[in-house]
Amino acid sequence: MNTPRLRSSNRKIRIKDNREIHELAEKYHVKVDVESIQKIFDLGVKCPYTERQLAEKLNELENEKKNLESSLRKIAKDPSNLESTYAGLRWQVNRIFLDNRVRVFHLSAHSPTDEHGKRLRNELIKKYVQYSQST
Amino acid sequence: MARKKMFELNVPDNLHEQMGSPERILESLEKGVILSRIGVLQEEVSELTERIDNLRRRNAELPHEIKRMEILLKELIKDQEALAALLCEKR
Repeated sequence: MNTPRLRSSNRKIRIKDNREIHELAEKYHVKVDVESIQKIFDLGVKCPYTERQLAEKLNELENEKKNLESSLRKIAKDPSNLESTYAGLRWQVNRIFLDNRVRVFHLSAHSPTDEHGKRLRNELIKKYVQYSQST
Repeated sequence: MARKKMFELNVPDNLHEQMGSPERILESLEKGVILSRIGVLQEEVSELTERIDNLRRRNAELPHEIKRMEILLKELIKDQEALAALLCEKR
């Protein structure tokens, strides 16, 4: 029994790689080459919107992008310099912490005579040695 | 002279007649190109929105973080002084 051949639902058309295509690609910053042209063409064929509607949407997005870029620049400028204040404080905290830890190691070989000194020594050893072991 | 490159496009059978003219093909290509650009812009806009949100969140957190660091620094300076006194006593 002969099975009927399924007819291809597509036909091929050939177009020249012309100036208009290059101008389109350049205008909209989209790469149009042998690999992408079919996808771009399919998008266009299936698109339910008019060129005018698309141009409006494009314009709206370009403006939104510009506004967002401007907002980002303003926020990133950080006029209050909070980020640098924070970085400076962190640097100081790290430096003094490391310095204190070294002093605690020196202190561990020594036992003060008075009760207050002993308690303080033990507290500091506990604080810095325990912290070092937990990190 | 170099021969011009040709693009080959698959066109659905039912649209083949309509796509007969080069103007119609170019029109569909233009729509496709604009749609591609719209897609790229939508991604860029959502990326920018996310970056702005993150920056705003970070700027809102910073005063609390600075306060926390100041408290920690005070505590460390107090320890530093106590350690210096204890080590001085040792000598």
